[in-house]
Amino acid sequence: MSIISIKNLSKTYNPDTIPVHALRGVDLTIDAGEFTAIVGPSGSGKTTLLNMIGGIDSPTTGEVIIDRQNITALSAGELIRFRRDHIGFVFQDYSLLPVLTARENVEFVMQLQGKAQSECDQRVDELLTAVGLRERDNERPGKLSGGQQQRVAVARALAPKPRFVLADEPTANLDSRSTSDLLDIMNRLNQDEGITFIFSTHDQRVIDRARRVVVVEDGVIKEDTVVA
Amino acid sequence: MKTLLTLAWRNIWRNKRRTIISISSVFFSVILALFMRSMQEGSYAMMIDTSVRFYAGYVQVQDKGYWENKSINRLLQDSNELRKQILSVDGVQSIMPRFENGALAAAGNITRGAMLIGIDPDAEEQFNGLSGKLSSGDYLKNEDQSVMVAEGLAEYLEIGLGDTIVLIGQGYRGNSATGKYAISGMVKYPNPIMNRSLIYMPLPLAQELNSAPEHATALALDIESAEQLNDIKMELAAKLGDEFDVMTWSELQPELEQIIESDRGGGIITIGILYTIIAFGIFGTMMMMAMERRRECGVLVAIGMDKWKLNLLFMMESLMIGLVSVVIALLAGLPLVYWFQENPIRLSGDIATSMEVMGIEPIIPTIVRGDIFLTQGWIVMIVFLVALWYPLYMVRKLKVVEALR
Repeated sequence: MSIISIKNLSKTYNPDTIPVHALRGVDLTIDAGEFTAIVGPSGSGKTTLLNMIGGIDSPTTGEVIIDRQNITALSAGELIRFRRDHIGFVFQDYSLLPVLTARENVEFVMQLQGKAQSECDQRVDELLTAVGLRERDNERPGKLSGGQQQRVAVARALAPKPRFVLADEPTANLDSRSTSDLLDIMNRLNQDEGITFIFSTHDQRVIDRARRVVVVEDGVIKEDTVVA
Repeated sequence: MKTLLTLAWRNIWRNKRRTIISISSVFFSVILALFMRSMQEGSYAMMIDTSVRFYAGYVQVQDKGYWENKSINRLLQDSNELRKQILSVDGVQSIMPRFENGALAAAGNITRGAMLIGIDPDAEEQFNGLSGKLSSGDYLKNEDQSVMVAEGLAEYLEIGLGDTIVLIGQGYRGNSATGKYAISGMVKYPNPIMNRSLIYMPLPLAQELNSAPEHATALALDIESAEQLNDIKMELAAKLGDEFDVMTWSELQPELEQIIESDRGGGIITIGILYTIIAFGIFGTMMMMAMERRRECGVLVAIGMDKWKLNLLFMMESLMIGLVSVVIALLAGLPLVYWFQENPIRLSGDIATSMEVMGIEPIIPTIVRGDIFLTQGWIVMIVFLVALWYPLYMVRKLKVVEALR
């Protein structure tokens, strides 16, 4: 069952001066439970595509439909709430709030959703256990390694029970060991809990683990391979 | 909300040094502003107090129209009924009847214009400690048939204690006001005008001299608190009706009010400049706090934080820094201002002399007044709110995709 459906998506920057076509009429469907890598060289349009799926950038033409909701038609405020409730984000530089502990970072979006504290506590315990950081839940990000911070970021992305997680170059700042640990955790969450992960990446280690690889070049999809 | 408060509080301590510098700058500005304003208002209070005690009283009740030309024919009947009515007004503490009239003072072949003031010696003593002005002789008693003369006048007339002074003037309703009185006391005023013109006599004697028994030119009133002034005036005016004028010290001495107002204006402008400089510092801090967290703001909006909540977060941070600064400054300022209220700065030299000449004690007292403290607090909080415009503007214009780049 598809959760993301992209139709004829185009994005042109500077349309009135020197137009840059970041995406040119992309069509793409992603089903629930996928573990998909969007790959391509720098400037190919993969990050733009990920931003469109995440609703943090708006297309010049085309539609992004998530769970039958055309998110390109939502107002700015509606889009913020849609992202909060349906999409998890993992950033290259972790982007945790440095003044909050690991636990507080993970429960932050649930707090924004207005969830009860008991529900937050239970969910945070589950997620921190799943990413192997239950014992370090009261540490602030500055006290954690890069790999640990990224695992907290994954837990944060999953806290509001999103439909899918978008991860933009999640391993770019990690060493081999941390990358491997992180991919193991995300793979397990995907396999065991059916969570959909979509990565944009250059990292061959991520590509090797993906079960679908979408290659973007010059703003169009060049290849779309499902790995057996 | 609790999460936002926690986040805001921790955010302001992310850059401890910057926050401490901001708090310190506000702290010293508030202390300075508090001290300046308390000193100003303390000096005004002292000037008013001096003026009120020795000249006007806080409020005066006069016969209708007396104040326009101070005619001796516009006297009020100092009756028990009138006194009862006045004392029934909440806040009025005591009444000092006064009988003021110009007279020609003579001794031997020398004459000079003088200001004759008939007083109730006991009431005046209680209100302003008039006997403290006595340089020699005895303080007046109500039944005395003698007068107290200002030293400068006595010197001019070449008379002293025990000598006789002749007073010639116009009394009530065309009667002649002529009398000869022994000098039982000499008073000394630093103000040269007063020192060369004042003659005090008991009220009954002044009434007899001016052929106006049971009359007075004014009833000066002492009140419990200066803050009640306008209420007391209004209630008295309503109670006494059209036959009387009720005037406050500021109406009786508008020049004093004007001097205070213009000086207060100058002080407020100085403090305004001080706060403007501080406002730029605070604005810089808020701008830095916003700019260095632009990407973080992008992340917060990306993961689902409404922009109004982000605005609220910045507002909390701004108000928290403001509140911490103000509370510390006011708590530190209170004992300081109180200490200088109890131990005022004493002036010396020419300034002290000129103040003494004006009849004012040469000190600069501060005054502990809630409104001065609260005003500083409000100003700082408003400055912090105004300085919020940049973070709010940044959040409004924030494009997530650009912030994340």
